[in-house]
Amino acid sequence: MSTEVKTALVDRRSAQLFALIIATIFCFLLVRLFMVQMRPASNIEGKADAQRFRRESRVGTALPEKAVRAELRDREGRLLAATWFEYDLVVDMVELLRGADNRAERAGRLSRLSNATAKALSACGRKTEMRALATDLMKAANSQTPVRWLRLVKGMDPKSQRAVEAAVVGTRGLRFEHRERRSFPYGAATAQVVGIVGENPKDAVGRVAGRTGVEFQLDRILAGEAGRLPLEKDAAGRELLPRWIAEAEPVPGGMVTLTLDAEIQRICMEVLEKSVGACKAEKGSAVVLSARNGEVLAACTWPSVDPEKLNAKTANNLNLGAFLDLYEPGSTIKPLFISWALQKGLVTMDTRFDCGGADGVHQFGPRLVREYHANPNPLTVREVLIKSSNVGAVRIGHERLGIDGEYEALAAFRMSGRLKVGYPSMPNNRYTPRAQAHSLYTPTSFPQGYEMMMSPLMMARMFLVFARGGEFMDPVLVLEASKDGRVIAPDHSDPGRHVRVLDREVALSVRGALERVMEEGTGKSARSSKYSIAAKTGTPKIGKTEVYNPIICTMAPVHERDPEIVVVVIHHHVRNRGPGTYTGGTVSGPPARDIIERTLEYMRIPHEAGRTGGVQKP
Amino acid sequence: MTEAKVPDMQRHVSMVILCALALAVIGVLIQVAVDSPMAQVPYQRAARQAIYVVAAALLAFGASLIGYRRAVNLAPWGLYATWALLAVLLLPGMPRRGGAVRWIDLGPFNMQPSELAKLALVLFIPYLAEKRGDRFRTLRGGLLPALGWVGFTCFLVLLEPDLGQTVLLFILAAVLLVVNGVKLQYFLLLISLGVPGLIAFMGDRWDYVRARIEGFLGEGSYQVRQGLIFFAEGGPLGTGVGEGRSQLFVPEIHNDFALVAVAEQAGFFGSLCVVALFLGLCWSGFRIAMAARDRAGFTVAFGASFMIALQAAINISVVTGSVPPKGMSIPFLSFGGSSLLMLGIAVGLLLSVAKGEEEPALASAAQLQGAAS
Repeated sequence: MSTEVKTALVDRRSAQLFALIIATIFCFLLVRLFMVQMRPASNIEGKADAQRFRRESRVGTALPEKAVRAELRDREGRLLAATWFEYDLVVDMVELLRGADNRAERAGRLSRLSNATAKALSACGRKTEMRALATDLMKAANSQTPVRWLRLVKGMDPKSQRAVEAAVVGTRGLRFEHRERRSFPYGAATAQVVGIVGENPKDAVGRVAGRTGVEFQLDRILAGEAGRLPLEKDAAGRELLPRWIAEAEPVPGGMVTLTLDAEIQRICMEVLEKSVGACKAEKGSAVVLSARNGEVLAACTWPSVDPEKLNAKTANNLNLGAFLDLYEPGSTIKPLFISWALQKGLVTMDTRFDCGGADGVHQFGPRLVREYHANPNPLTVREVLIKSSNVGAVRIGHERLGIDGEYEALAAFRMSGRLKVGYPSMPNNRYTPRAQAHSLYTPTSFPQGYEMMMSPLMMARMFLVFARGGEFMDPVLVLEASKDGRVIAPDHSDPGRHVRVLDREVALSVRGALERVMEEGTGKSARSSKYSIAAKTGTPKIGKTEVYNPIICTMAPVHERDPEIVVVVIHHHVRNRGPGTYTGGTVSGPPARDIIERTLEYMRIPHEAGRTGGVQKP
Repeated sequence: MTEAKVPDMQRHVSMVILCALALAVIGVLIQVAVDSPMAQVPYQRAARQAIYVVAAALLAFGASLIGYRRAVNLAPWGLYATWALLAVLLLPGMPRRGGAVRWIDLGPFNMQPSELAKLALVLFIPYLAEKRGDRFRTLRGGLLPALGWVGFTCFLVLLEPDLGQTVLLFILAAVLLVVNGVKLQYFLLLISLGVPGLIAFMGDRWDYVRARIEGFLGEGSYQVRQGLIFFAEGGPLGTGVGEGRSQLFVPEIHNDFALVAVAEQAGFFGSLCVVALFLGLCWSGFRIAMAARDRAGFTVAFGASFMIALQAAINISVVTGSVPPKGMSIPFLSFGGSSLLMLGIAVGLLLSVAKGEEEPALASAAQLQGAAS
């Protein structure tokens, strides 16, 4: 039988057609191969590179200690926060075992590495079991799924790192990776202002980021900018050895100097610790401003917490109440309205007011206003300030200034909005808006320090006007910060920072009256035998309870000179347990005096001659 | 048969052996060249591939000795064995890779039953065609019974799931049925009815396929994009053997994307050589088929050649970004024992078809010599 007969049942033409189709496909593929190899599309490389390369920050391994988080210092150069490094020993298993052809050689290399590392760590006093290290290495070496990188030792301090590095020098495939750690030498004393840092999940090389306080506020300056290295990954997503040529050099963080003085801060903390305990307040805050330039010398709230010992229970103690808590100012607002009335010429210091006489009650329309103290009648404007007369203050505010005059005074002292110190989460100081004001209740509440909320820092700024002879100035917290080689510092000579609110004579006359508060008025408990102090106390009540927020706003020394500092002390939620246990003068006065005395002594301001009396017990 | 055809057939046999051997050697060289720098045991894969090549050569020799006739007669048992192995994959607890179960772990060797399925169909269709005789051309006598066998095989492969191999099996079977006399229009009708059913059967898996197609029309897949950059890096003459970096960035460089390694390290001329070797192998295979002395020989030779050509064409289309990505190995070049052993058997059968054609031709030459003397 011929071949043709035997294969007659097959369709040869179809077979030839299919062969032709396949040949055509191969011809097309040849053309395609020519195109992709000899004339590749221009955008392919970019797309493939974008997949392959990851731009990554490599401060940790490639370019050590160039882009570390910068230090934070106080105005005297004391370290408030500094960075150090913690090291991990990382083993490249492939590199370590490359060329080790037999089991004995592999085992030898692994055991040499574990022995040397364990010995070096033991010499540094760090307990490390050689057997545990060897086990980890053996597991990685014999793993079914290949292990490229093994983190053999974690969290070594720099001393241990140096010891291990010396012990394993020459061993292939080893590298040290480091992580940033932040220390706060002044601990709880400065923790609230300085803030804390935390791990940054977005940062691939374990750099920390500011979480609260100045660490958060100036994070971008402090952190600097990490360098960038092109990092290749293989098809399985494993990191290949980086090219050690930086695409961008790391930029170290800029050092920041705060206006804070760690010693004054510590003084405030010590004083508050005692006073808060003595009056059984929930907490206490203090602000110390430099009267010369508005710099914040201290700002703290007791209780605080050491960042190293932070936990869920103590986390709330990181809140800087001195900046963040809002209070009704109570009688401490009286100098504001009275000075504005003086400024406008509506009253003089000697203008007399009928303040209710012996019963201390005055009726304003349907509203009764009571004196807190039994005052003589009538009272001059000066006496209204000294005796902290509610009736007198309301009569000046409501009857002389009127509602528009009061709003004008608040606006002139910029008593609403956020303070421009840049500290994170600064609250909105506020008072009843004009559109919502009641024609009677609002103008009679304002002079008593109600229908408004302000932070201790805002109160200090208000008193800064009187301390500076009628000149308004915003407080500052950052003394100096360097960024991109430039130094940024507040320009105290900038005329924009100096706004005259009151005539100097008016400010001085009010200041004089406030000085007499310590001798004749509500501040007797805070009288100092060392320095002359001008003060105004306030005892705002919390609703209808017997709980108060005793406040004192002070400046010193004031006798025939411009003061050096403004100090505000406030205690949060003090219960009335009898006379002298809850008022601004008796509760916040003594700690304010202690802060003033110790601060001025620290500032080497000489004691004022001829001062007598010292502390008067309430 | 004339005397002039004898050296012609010898040339085709030599061509098949030469091309297959050259491709297999290139396959081993690829495994050497793309050995991962992260491999714990260097060149392990290349060594295994070399062993597979030797085993495939032995199988090819064995298959050529046994002959395609015996192989076709045993085809039903081969198909049953393939079904059994495909069914084993459906057992619970089989290891999954990339969401599919395609390999049976035999200790030092992983077996891929779908590779066996291709060869089983190449042998089974001529068996069925010969058994049915003239009736094989009809719908009821040929196409429908054949579709039952083929369809069930494809169904088992689809359950792995392996859509690419399923489509390849179906096209291969369809082409073999058509060259055996089944009318082409029957197939076109069946395909138009079967594709919607296939999509419905795929269910959620279809979304994956659609995503691949959308990816192809858009940015392209990771592997293909990385592959294309190494095609371009290869240029006309390549970077030199062992000088490539594609193994770091192209997944499956040792397998589906083996051609990328050739293109990178041997350049366009390397790729050209590979395509030429495939063309030479398949061309000679088609010529052997055309000269086959019977229906079974023709179908086996044509089927083996077409199977190799089709798989190579699909793979090259994928790696050059000409069609949506589909995981399919390139014959002889990709790492893998199952594929290489099956290819060895296919080449052996091809040679046996050529040998079967040679015997009468040699006899007639001897007779002619006798007559002359």
